[in-house]
Amino acid sequence: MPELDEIIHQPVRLRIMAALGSLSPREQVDFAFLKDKLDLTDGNLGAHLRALEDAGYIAVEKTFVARRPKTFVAASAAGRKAFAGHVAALRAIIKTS
Amino acid sequence: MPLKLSPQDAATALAEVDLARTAMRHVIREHRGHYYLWIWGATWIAMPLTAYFAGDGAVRYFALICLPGILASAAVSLVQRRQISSPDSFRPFGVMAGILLFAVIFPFVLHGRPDPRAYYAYACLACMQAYVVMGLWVDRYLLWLGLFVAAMILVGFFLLPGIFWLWMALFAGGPLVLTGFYIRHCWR
Repeated sequence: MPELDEIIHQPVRLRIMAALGSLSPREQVDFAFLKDKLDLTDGNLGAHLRALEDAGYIAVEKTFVARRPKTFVAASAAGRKAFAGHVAALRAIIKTS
Repeated sequence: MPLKLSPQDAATALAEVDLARTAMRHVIREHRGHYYLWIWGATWIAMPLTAYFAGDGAVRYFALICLPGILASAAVSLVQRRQISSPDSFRPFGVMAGILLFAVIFPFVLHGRPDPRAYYAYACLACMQAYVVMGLWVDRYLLWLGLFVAAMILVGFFLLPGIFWLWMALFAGGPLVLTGFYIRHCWR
């Protein structure tokens, strides 16, 4: 039976992983764009991204676009697998109730 | 200690997942090819209509008519890359630019002044070759669109020479615009 993931379970991180998991494996999303789409603050998103990055669930790439610093975020293969397992565990809880 | 959740909490979490996925799917839909199809569909309507009303000599303005399309495509690409970036995103442009250079511009340079209608049909077929390649490689709808428009080009050129330019506006440019609307409004 799939198990819940404590890191992903936190509501904001769950939404972040759901959003990043919707992209194709080679796509990455801009930090500011993700913040806007998930309606989060810089600090809030940054803190949760750090937690996910520390767990190896996302990859963060800092780069320059037109001489401006940009941060792009993508779900890693481990993150996609963990998220799929977490969602399967949530579904299993509902199914067995 | 393993995490324990009630079915209600699990349902709430799944609802959050669905909301975030829906929001991102909307974003992804915005990043599909419909802007390019609209831009180039409009350009492919404008060019033959110009020739239809002004005569075959109007083909000399076709490059000028393409210019806003090139600028608009570059602007769309720039905005989209700032939101969602992918190392593969330049591939379709590379394929299209390569085919235009090798299959459209080089033959024109080598052959000099070709028959305007035959050359326009040929240039459009070369672009549809790019659609077919990208359809096999990137997204399947481009394959069917490329094959359909290529068939329409051949029908117009061989069977309907009297209304060739009008036919090209309707059945080469038109399908691009309509496919753009289909992708924008019908795909989930």
